[in-house]
Amino acid sequence: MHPLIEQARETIGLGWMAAVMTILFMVAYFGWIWYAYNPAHKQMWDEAAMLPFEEGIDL
Amino acid sequence: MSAATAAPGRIVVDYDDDIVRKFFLATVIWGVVGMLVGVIIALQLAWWPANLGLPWTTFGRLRPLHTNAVIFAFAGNICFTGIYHSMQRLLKTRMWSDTLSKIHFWGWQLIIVSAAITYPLGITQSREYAELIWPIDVAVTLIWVVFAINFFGTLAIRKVKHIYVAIWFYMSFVITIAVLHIVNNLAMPATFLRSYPIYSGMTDALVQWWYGHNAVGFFLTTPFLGLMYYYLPKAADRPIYSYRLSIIHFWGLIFLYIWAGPHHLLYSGLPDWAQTLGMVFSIMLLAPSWGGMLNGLLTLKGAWHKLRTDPILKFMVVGVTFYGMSTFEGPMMSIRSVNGLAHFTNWVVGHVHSGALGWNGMLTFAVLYWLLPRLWNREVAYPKMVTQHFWLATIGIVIYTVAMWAAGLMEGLQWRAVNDAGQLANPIFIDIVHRLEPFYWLRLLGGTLYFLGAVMMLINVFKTIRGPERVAAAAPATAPAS
Repeated sequence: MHPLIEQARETIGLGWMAAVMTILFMVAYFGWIWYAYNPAHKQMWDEAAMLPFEEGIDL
Repeated sequence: MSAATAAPGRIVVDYDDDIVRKFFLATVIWGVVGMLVGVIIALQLAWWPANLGLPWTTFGRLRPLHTNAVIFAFAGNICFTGIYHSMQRLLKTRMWSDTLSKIHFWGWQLIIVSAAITYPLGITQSREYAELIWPIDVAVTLIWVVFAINFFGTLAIRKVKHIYVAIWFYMSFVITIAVLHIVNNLAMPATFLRSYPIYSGMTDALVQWWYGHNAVGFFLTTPFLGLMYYYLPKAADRPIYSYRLSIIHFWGLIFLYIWAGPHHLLYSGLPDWAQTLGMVFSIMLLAPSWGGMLNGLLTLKGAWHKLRTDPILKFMVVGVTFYGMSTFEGPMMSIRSVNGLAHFTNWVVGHVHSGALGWNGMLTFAVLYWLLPRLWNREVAYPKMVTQHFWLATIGIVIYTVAMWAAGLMEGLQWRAVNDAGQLANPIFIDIVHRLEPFYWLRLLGGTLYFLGAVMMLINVFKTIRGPERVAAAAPATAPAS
């Protein structure tokens, strides 16, 4: 077989990896959104947003 | 906070502000130098005898000097200024090592000086935004490692459990720039001044633009968003509009940016699927980019009246708005058909400068003016001049970008125009170049206004530093923004 066709066949053969990666990253990202918007964490984020105003004292 | 209002149990930290002042002054000085070189090369494009007929002052040698000075010296030093100032406060601890901070500062300035010497001499490895020759590349790596050790060392000794979102943005800067710099500069040295990249052909181009676009993403975007997430709430005196949005758009940016590079190689020898991949990721980038822009602007909800009197907020709002505009324009330009018109025209130059002057420059000025009275405990010498700087810069950017848009569209359309016989309507390239001249003069005008604003800031800064110290009652952190 022509080496280029052989190469293309191998590339397509690795397509399952791209599919698995896409699914993994999407699950991770949607999981992160779910975690961020979980009402149980609202107070934690509200406190975090105030961090710039709670600095230590300059000596 | 003044000591008088300190609540019991509040952590008292002896912050290292000396290093912040050093990086602050370096930002101001290199900013003026880098913009001056920009004005000179803008003049050369409009009026070529300005290259003086000397090899050292030709456009080809001064252009990398301009880009490197404004990106790595001006923008780089403000990132370090903001990081050393805000991370100590957000983590309630002094930097892990003052010695490493100092090595970082002097090492970085030395690298900038070596760039300013080698480029006019024509000593370059000819990779865009990575023109430094290999011995200087090694120095950059070493200094960056010093910075990273200090950065993560400080994180390790932090007194606060939660790592505020700005620090996550800084972290992406520290890690990604290290990876980009090393991978793109892998080369085999031949002599002390010359080396050969380990990549060739299309692979070389792809690695270069993976680096090039992520320099935009991780040198000019994420650390600046980190600055926005600390200094905008401080200047507006209210917390960020949505903390949840900030941490979600952070990961969106991180994941998408790294794949966008191939949009620089549309219609090239790069495999079609890779071009399309780069285009699709670039379009998706609109969402996390605008997440940051909206989060910044909405933070001012209910505080818009402050804009009337506070020039620092003026700078910030225009900066964030330009961020929104250029991150809308970018994805549009990465679409194949739009890119076919825009590529190699002055539209690209306009796009870059709406991001650089509008977003990076304006946010930098805001952070500098906010820090100035606090770092030196002095009133700003010429408060009205801050507002004048704001208007000069804003008008300058508008003239610059509009001129370049018009020039770019004209060029793109004339290059592709065909007559009824199917022949090129403008077969002589130099004819189109001549038609660009008025736009080049306009660009010079816009750039000069922007540069003059920066000079006013330089004068204001040095006059302020030499002024009398504030009386003890008004401690730095609670002092009103001037």
